[in-house]
Amino acid sequence: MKSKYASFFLVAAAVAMTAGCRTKPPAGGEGDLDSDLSAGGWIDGDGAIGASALPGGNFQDLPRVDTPAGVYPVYFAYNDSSIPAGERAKIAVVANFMRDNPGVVLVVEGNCDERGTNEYNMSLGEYRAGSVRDALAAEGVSGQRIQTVSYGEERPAVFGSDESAWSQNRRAEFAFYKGE
Amino acid sequence: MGFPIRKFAALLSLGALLALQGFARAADIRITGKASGDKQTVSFSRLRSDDSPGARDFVATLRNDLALSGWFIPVDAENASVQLSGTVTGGFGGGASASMRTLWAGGLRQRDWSRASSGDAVRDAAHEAADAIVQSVTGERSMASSKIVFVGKRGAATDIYECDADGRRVRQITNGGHLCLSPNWEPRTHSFLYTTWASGLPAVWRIDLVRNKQRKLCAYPGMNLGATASPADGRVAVVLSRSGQVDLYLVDGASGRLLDRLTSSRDASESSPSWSPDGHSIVYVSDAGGLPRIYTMSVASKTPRRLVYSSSIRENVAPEWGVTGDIVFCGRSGGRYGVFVTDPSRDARTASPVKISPSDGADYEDPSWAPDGRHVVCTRTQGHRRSLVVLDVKGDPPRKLFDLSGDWYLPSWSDNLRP
Repeated sequence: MKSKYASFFLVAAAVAMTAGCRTKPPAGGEGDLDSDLSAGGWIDGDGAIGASALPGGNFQDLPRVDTPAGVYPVYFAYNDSSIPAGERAKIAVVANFMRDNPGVVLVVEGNCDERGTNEYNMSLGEYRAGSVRDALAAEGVSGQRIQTVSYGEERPAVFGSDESAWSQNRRAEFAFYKGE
Repeated sequence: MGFPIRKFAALLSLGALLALQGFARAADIRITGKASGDKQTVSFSRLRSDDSPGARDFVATLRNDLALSGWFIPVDAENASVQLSGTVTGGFGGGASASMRTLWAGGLRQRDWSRASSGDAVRDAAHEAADAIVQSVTGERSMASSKIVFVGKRGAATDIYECDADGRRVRQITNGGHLCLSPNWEPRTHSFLYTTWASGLPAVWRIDLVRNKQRKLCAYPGMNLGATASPADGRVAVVLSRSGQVDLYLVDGASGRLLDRLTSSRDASESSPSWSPDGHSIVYVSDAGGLPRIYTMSVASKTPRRLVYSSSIRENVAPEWGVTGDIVFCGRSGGRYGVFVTDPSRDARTASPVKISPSDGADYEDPSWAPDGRHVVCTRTQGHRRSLVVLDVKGDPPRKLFDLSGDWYLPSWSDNLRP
């Protein structure tokens, strides 16, 4: 179980850009930056440090599959990455779909409410997504078909600074893709 | 006739400059509370400038830099501890040429400085002049020629931005609007590392501001966050979750290849690595003991040592090791986050971290040292808004870095940079 102890921080609602601001992108913006990925690519580790437990590549580059009916986000308690008992039925629905559709792969997206430091929430979101991945694996879904990503507090489902908003932001969401 | 760039005698007083090197050794900044007693007046009355935009910009920037250094009070009166004299004249396209003499110690010491600059570089030249004066007169480190990178959220778009140490020349670096976090300058370079979710999954990229290029460093499965380059060699410390656990690793700074795993705590996560000035150790956060706490570790021995024991600071996060050897971090005390400084060479069990942020109902986080070892930039959160604020360990009042609409956070302060 992961816990966080902070209680502050608000992701501000969208802030309108004002006229007269002094910022401007460099000439051409990011397009001028070298996007050559040849030296980066997907780098995996060497044997001395241990093989990754997670699948490589990026499932999000694959064609998206519509979210099946009956699949809903898994919600978490504050400070917690363990799956509440009342949320486990949602895992079973996803596991059934994955078993019935062996060509589909899945990205589990971990999210947090706004309370806590930025980096800490990134870790917490990672652990929440990992808990869902582990639960799916326990239901018989291969871990190699599941990727996780944490967005920490950066992608709230609901803007707000009360429990009704926070409770909807402490979640793991499912994104399905057509595997190769 | 082209732009009249006159090459002033840049080495006018090389001998004097060399003689000052010993004098210019920076002393460690120690937290002394009020800074007013350390300040010297510096007179601008004998620095003649014309009314051109370039000359005005140069003088205003220099004057502001000296004030922001914390060591000087600029005045127009002749009676001052430090006298500036010389001329500043405007040039074509907003440029300026400056030829100045700084006198101090009752006129017994002096330093000459001159530079001609085009319009875009007038502020760089003024920053350089300010650094020269601070270092010569006080013997302290300076910060005027440094930059700050940070995350900005305007509307729905998140990007990386930079600005000068004085908060001017705010510039958007990335233009993708993708989620991005953890920009960290690389030592002594115009490049920084950061994490972007541009591909959908987090990856560490390096942006070179001189070449205006970026290149992916690593994208391991899971988290790739908090990458920070060693000041001693090409290694980069980074937070990865490739094992399923969130741990600290070392990767090669050129290839991104995994070199070592620094932590392997089960059911705990580590984050926020920052290198010691000699590059032998890191300071980082671990919640292995329950609460997030700060530890130091020799990267050779990998033996963690807890840094903060104060019972009044429950959480300790976001540490950064400064050039003086002191560590700045964010601690939760009295229900709010504040910025604290501690000396890791002291006995951690008896050392009392010093709070340098005000108690004004706001949260202060993500601290990053200026290259002068005296100032700290951090995120101030109040009323659902995040802005950047500069704190002074010697007690000058906090300064808002700039006033632009948007959400500004996760700053990283560079070394002094030459254009």
